Amino acid sequence: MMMNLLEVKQFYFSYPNQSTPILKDVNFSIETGSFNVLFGKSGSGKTTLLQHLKPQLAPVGQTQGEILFLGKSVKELSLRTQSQDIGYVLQNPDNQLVTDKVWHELAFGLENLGYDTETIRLRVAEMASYFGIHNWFDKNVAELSGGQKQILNLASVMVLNPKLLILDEPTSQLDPIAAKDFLETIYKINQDIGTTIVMTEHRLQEVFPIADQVLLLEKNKPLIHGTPKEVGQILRETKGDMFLAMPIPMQIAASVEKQGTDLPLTVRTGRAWLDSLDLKEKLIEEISPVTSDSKKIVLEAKDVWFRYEQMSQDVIKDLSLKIYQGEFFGLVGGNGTGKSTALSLLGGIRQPYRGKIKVAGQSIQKYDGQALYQNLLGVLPQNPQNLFIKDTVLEDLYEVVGGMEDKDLPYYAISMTKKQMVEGISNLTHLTHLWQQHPYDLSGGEQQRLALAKILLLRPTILLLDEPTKGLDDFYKEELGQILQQLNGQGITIVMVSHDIEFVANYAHRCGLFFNGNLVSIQPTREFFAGNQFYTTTANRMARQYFPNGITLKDVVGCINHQKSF
Amino acid sequence: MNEQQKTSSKQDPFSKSHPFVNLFYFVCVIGVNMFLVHPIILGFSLIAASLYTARLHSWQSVFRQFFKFLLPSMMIVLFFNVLFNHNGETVLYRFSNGKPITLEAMVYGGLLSVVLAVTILWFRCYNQVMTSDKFIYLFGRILPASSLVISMVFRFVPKFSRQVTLVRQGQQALGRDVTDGTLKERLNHGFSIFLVMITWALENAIDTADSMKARGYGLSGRSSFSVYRLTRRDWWLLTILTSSFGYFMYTVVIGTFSMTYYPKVQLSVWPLTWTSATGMIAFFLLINLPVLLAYVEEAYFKRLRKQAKHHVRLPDYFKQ
Repeated sequence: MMMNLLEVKQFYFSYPNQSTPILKDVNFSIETGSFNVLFGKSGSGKTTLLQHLKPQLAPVGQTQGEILFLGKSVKELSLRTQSQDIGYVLQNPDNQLVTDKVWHELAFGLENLGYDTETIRLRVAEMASYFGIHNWFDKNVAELSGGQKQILNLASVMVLNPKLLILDEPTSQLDPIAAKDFLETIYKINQDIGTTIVMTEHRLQEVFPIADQVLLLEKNKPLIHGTPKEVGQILRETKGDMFLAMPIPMQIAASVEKQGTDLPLTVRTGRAWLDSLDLKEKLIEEISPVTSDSKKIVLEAKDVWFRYEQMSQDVIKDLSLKIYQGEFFGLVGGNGTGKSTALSLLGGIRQPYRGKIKVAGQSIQKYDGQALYQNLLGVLPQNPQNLFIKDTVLEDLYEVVGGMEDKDLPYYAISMTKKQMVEGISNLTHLTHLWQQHPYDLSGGEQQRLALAKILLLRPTILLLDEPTKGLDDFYKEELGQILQQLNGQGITIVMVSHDIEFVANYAHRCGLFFNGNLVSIQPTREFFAGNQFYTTTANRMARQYFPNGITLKDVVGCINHQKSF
Repeated sequence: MNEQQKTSSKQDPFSKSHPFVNLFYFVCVIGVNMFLVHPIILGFSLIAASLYTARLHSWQSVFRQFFKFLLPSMMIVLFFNVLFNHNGETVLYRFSNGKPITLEAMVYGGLLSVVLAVTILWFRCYNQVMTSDKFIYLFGRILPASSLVISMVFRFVPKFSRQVTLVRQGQQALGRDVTDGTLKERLNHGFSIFLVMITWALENAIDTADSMKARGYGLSGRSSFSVYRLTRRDWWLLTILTSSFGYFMYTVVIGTFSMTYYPKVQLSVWPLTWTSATGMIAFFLLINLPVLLAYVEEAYFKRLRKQAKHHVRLPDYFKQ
């Protein structure tokens, strides 16, 4: 009989000074060579559990129960064995890089273990070739893209040839294309080399179909584990929150059928399932929410050109764009097409060398520095952390309005007191319970909401968001989407740059596809996605032969229910 | 690092040789330049340094640096030497307090200013050739722990300054950058940014420490790896460097290049003797080695290309 690589038996853990354990009676085992995905809401203790699998990194606190690695307690493993046999990749690609050169980073682990130069040369060469690093082997790590950095982190762990590879949300800081590449690399490692994988991940759409075992960790609940289909089935029966995170085909099937256990995981199996239903083609009819003629233009780019340096290539080429009052505009497109640059031009962070940007009918250059960002434009940067400046959430919020005392500020001629303002915004963005925390300790979704709250305190009428869903799990995404919708309902114009087409399809009124420094097409969201063959939502890809313009989960489920009843 | 990318169209074979060869060359050249104030040697150095800088960057940038920075600083050196050095017997002018301006002080000041210019040019080449990893490699052999620390510093500094830019952009969008508001507000904004950067650095250091621990940092018997190898060519270069430098130093020591400035300027190199001529040749070879190497390589490639054009007679099965 094959021995399990890892066995966790009745494991408990509590942080010091906390009465309730964060991990409670955790039991599971990991087969040698399997691909395991751990998921759950943030704050459920996923990272803590992973850290305990490699005691070098385990936090201080009280433990009970045991974790066996190849039949031996992990705590008894020597540091050398731990370093060599259990690899660990963390979330942030930047912070894990220790040295300044790619080759040095690859060699770092082997140096620590004291290998001689010849062995290191061979192992490093091997790894660089396997991961396709040889093309940028001599570079400085600072020159690499986020995706390359994370691949480098992976390679510099794999160079030690671990038996178990642990990854803690490795793709949360990456854009979708880099994330997909990364996950494919992990899968390749698992298939080619047989390394056992345990990872936490919120892109369940992509990892569910390839996982052997999935484990759901929830606060104060026993751990659920099994094959992806089994766990999906359990979640569907118990109506758990996390069902939101399941692959779209599975969600569609589950919300239509009442019984049936063979839920589809991929678009392909989803299509086969749809075919079995014997459906008729149907178009969704609805009135476009924004009619361009009747509305006022609040933000406009006119023949805008931009490049970073005089001698470099144009990043934005002859861009013209009109944003109407009160709309929700989504700017989508591939990596490096200039989306974020376009947004920073609209937000006045950078200036075009040719062409004009107009805000509320006036050239952006005519605004004095502070006037533009108060009561008018709000710009949310890609990494919300860049906005935080104080030690607690509350202080950080008050910082925007100039401190706690109620003195009049030139840009604050409103009847509310500051306290009312801060409380109001905190309620809207669900931050009240986090007031005393350090902004850096918040989870990704909470940080995003705090950044949004800070911007909102300046009462913008136009909100520019750069990748607001980056690193958020589906639960937080939905929360953020609802907040944005609420703001939009209050008359705030929203322009969002995003890779996340599912999110854009759910919330935006109009969409534009950015390509090669320009907008290729601008259309109302439904027509936009229905017209695309590849660059469209999962739901649309799955069901387009029956419902060509059904783009969201709700659309498709609605259409099926209309024709079928189970 | 950026400059290296810009000039990558121009190859410099010397930069690609072993770091030790590079270091040895610069120590010899800059050492001679600083301790031997001799017009002929300095003239050679000036030409060689300009040639090599032009090769690594461009002639345009050499001239730009010369007029913008070198010439003014040379003038200052000359000016001060003439004004405050009153040695020498050829008096050109006498101030009312009796202090003279002498020809000798002028000559010496002029030479000193050339020393300054040449040294700056050499250090510009040095910066281009001796990249951080070469430096780390060389000094890591002496102090293994320090090489990792230096490498980590080189990693941290660009990361930190990038984050400062990002935070400032974020604050700019809130109207709270260091350039916004009254002086007091600006100071306040700047201080807040400074504080949050410290928090940020400490936060991230935890991750880095975890990543180091996870890969076995702190175990005993750490080794030090490098991508460099001493090739046969490096040995050749070293041989040429040591022999030319050795012979040149020999001619210096026996007094071929001795020079007195006060009370009267006296050069010992002229008339040309056997030793002074060969000494000069050796020095010429020494300082121009990188440029010569580049020319040889270029000529070699030209010949190869020509050969490829004329003599290609591939077997039939290569044709498609």
